[in-house]
Amino acid sequence: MADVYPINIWINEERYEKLKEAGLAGMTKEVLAGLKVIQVPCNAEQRDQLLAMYPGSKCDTATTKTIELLPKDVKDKIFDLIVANKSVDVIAQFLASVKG
Amino acid sequence: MAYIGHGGKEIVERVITDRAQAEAKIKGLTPVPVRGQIAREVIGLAYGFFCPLEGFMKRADVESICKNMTLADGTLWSIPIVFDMDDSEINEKGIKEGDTVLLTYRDQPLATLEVEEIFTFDKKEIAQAVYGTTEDKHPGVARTYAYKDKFIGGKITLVNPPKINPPFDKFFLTPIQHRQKFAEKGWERIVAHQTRNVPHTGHEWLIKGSWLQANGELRVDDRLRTGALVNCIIGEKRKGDYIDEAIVLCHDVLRTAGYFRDDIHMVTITMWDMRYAGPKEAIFHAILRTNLGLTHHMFGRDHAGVGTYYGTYDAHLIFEKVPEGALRIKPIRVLDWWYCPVCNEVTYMALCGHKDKKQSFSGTLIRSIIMDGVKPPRLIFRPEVFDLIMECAEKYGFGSPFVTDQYLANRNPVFSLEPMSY
Repeated sequence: MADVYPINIWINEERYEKLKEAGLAGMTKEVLAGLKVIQVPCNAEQRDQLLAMYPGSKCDTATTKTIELLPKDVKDKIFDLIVANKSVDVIAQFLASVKG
Repeated sequence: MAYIGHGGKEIVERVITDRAQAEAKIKGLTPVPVRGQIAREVIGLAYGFFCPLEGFMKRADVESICKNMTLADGTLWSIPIVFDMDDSEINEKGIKEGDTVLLTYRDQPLATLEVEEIFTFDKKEIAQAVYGTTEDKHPGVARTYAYKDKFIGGKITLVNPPKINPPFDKFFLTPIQHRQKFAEKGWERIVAHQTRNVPHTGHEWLIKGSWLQANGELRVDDRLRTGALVNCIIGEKRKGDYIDEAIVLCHDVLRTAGYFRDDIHMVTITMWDMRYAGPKEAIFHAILRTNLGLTHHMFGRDHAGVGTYYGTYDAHLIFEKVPEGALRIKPIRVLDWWYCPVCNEVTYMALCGHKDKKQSFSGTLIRSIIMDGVKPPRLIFRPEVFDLIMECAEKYGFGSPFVTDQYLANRNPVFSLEPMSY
């Protein structure tokens, strides 16, 4: 099975309500003292494209294997796609929209 | 009153505060422009932050540090403090041993340097001895390799004391001023918390835990005699670091918002460019805080480390090699604080029995949360700290709490030098 490199999208109350409406609230998990996160999977190729497009971001290879420090507007856009598509598999669409 | 610093030496301020006297001293001297790192080290040397040093090191000191982790006179020391210059610039300016030159920063006079020795030194030897590696991926090694080909050793005298700019002005104290402040507060023991981060509750508990350890057997029934000093390192910034203003102000708000009592907590800054030398930097930090008058220094996991160059607790272990009496400050070695969902609290690795359930404070995760602008639970991040980070982002960071190109290019400098003729 191919390696997965998730993006952590942190969930506040407003975002949680939107996820509930999209039927995705069950996909959140608690990470730190009740703070919720939803994880958006990326494959290695998508990871490399994101890291190249946003040089401030990084893949935490040592511990979590997650892609971190993407700009806020990027993560906002990914979150909107999750809600619109009622799915977390949105990275291909996100990359296409940015390149397009 | 004499204030005794590292190595049992008196802290000496090499500063001319009389403007006319300073102008007379620098008249006709050859100006040598210096970069930010050197300017910050000049200030550190002049006020005694690096006591017993009174200037940039000569060859014998650098050699002894590399071989023995001491100065040439046997005083414990771990990181060379050197002034580098191009051979061509030395020749062009006609600088020779016995001269005095004028160091300038941003076109203004800063300090005089007595040229006692001009020497070369193998940078690889420094890298291996200080950083334990010669790989230029290590930022401290890269800094060493970037030094120019000659070094000039000799005493410095500050001729244009820096004007510390807001918001840092409230937080800059010289070593002697630190000691005077501690005396006013009646602190008999002071424990250092070294930081380059805005504080989450993991940091807060590191400070609280080390305060408890430092306070130890002291009486507590009448008044408290121990203080915690958060000494923020302010130096060269890299993209993605927290902005300096957020680091300092967010630590301070922990006290003003009541998470620390006013009579046991204080925040100051020290200008220093981190070398990421792990255990060797831990020794240096201990020396630095000795000079500030501290009695204890907290060292956590991976202190001043970078990447995988050092073991998690190398900065604890190196103090085993320090001879008795070589340091006048006690290391307080601490393990991790984490959030435990079973204990439902931030707790200590040495106490909590639910290791398999722990939720660690990963710096990367915390930064990720801040970047998303999502307010974390107060058990993780105090709301006052989070709000202040966002305020600092707008006020000082051009919209970001992290260092950006725009911040690097346009930030307000930490200090300025008054115009002075030379």
